[in-house]
Amino acid sequence: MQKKRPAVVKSRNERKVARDRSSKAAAKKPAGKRGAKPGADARPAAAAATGVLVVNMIPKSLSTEENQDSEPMIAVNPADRDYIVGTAFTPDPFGSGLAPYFVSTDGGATWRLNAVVPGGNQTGDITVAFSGAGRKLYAGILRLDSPTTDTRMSILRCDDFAAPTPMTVLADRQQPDQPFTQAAVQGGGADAGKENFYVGNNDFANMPQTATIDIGLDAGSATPAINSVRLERRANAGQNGPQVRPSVHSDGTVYAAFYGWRSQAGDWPSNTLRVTADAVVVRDDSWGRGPQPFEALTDPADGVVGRRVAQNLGFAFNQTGLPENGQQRLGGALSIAVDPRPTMSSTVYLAWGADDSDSNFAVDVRVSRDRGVTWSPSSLLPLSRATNAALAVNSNGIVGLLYQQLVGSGVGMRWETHFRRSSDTTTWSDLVVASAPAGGPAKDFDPYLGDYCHVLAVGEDFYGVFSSANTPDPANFPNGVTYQRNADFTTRKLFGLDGTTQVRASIDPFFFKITGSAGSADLPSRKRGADLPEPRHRGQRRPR
Amino acid sequence: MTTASKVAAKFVFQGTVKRVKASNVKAVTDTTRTAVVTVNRIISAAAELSGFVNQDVTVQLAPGERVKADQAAVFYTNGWLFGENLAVRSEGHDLVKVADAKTRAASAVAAAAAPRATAEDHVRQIRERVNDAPVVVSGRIVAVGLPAAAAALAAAAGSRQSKPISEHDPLWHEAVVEVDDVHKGSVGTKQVVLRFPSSTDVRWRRSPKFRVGQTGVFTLRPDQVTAASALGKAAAAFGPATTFTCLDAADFQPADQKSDVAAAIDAAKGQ
Repeated sequence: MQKKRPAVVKSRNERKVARDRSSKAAAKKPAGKRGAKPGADARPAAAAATGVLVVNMIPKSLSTEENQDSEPMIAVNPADRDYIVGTAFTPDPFGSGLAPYFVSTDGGATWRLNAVVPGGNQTGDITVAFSGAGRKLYAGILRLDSPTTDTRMSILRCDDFAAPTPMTVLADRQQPDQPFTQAAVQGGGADAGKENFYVGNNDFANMPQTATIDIGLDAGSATPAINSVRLERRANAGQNGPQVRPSVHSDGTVYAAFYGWRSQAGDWPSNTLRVTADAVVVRDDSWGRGPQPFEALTDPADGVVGRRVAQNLGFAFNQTGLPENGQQRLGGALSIAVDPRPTMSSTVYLAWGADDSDSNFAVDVRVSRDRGVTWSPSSLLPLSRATNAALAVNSNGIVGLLYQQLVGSGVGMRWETHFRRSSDTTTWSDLVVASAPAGGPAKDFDPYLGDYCHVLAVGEDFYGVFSSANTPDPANFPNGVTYQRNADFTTRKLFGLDGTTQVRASIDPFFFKITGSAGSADLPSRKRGADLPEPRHRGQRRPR
Repeated sequence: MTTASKVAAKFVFQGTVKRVKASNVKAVTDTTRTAVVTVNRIISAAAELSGFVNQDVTVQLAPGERVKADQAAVFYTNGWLFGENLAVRSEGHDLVKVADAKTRAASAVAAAAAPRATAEDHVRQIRERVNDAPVVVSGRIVAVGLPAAAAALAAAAGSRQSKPISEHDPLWHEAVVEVDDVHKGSVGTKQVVLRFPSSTDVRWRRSPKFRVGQTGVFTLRPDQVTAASALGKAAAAFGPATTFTCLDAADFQPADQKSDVAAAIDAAKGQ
């Protein structure tokens, strides 16, 4: 049961006092009531199934919104896991010139917007990470106030994620794509306590070897030095893929994965482009501090830096999503996660998207237990018609996999969002956190669900975010859901602030948290109902 | 607070102060300078804010600004927090006479007030774009095609790509506009060529996508972005023409909203 945290607009000292009071007050309540009512006007956001919390992140005051809030990301503060930030393609309704992110200060039960991201009323791509130092938050974004001819990436930091102060720009340059942010505090040695960030990006300023990680060492300092490390060392097809993903261990091991594009066929403007690529993993053993970062791992076949875990992966790289693919733009998917346990940085998981023989897109998962040198020869969990793979490993060594899978056909096609876990890489539990029609609402732009979603672990718990159609239909959320925005699960309709004006369905970001061993990973694969209580679906009461 | 900051306020509404030193947003814990205000009528706001008529919002008053319970006023505000309720920051307020307030509040039927408010915001957006655009024309799209550079590349290279592939590629296209009227500036030719991003990527979500037969008003800026001097096949057939871009959603208004553009141009001339 989460402790109830105080509001964050208070000063830090005021907050500490309030938190102490709140904790004491909560301790006096019966366990079942603790933290059940996050606000006077909010409905309880208790987990529907035991240990499973799914929340539509759109605040009640945005009940009229119909935006396509796709491509979500999440960061949980390891120093206080009640503090969570989520992102999506969400514009500032006020048009302030700053883009918002979603803030929760109660472990994800309730959310509000904080418009503090420079670069326009909305970002392009945005990813966020807490380092764990106080309330500092880091972000990598593509700004929409970029030149028309180029992308423009900024790396940002703020001292207090919940404060209304605009984020500080640490780096700002043109041409990178898809920044993907991770951050950490160094735990030992001469630099103990210093923060580092790692922003993977596909930097077209370094054609053709575009796969890049921007490393910010001592990132909490006033003007951190930032080193753009080029990861690709092989000949490629003019560039690499947009997905460049880092994963950081507290012992200083940093892995990164990218697609080394080897050839192209078809035509991008005509939406027929196909790419053949390698899934490549690189590693650094000392936070990326050395003169030649990320050179610790070479491929046994050619001796070149970067272990090719898989070669000749073929996949479509769409400029626009097709109806037969559930409106989703395809272009590969990549995720890497290191085992966070103190002595386990040798264990690392990799998931990638590529075509398989049965469908035109699929997810493959592998594991290495020797620091990326050798990998499991076949997929731990082959998944057809799946994309947006995201991996995390918890403090018990349980690996979690989030992905979105297209099921059914024709008008019956649905996007199912699964979260699966395994303690032995053989048996996988399966929680379907959402299942929504793939044909509607019609997309306003690409990507429909996002080019990625995200999951991470803090301690035993997994925290994730995904985008999905927001029709308040109990069938769409087999493990329950809580809505903050006005929704009626009986009529399956959304309503505006007045509770009577109907609002059309759109794509919303959904947060989920799986506490401890809820939906145990040690049991065989199952869907809802195997041993979980009946889910509940909670929305705002319509005003009468 | 300055007049300029009030003019620039994004959410202007007439409201009645319900409680002072109070908030209906959980995250607002310091209520020394806040008030809960009932929104009676929205005067100017983005469409996303149109639903707040008859809703209570938390207003953080500007330094030195004071209100009393039951006072009616026009509040000039900007965004602060979207939570379980809305919190805004005041740039100042103008008191409204009670009789006037009652009259106005009584007539503030939400369904009617909201569209009017957002319409005003719509005109404001057009005015901002028109103000700093050299040319505004009305006309009809008669051709759409690839720019010369893109067409040549496609023809010569076949499937081989010679520039980076990015999801955020604008995929420039050209649209030829047969000009009926010139509302601002001059174009010198009967046709103008617009270069516009045909991409459906989020990066270009606010850019109009043109197709043959569309009629309306086009707010134009000289093309300084595509680096293409030659016209593509669709545009070249119409002979020499000046090239422009049209990148913002407010830069194109369908013919039935011509009056909004005319009002914006008149307002610009009056400044």
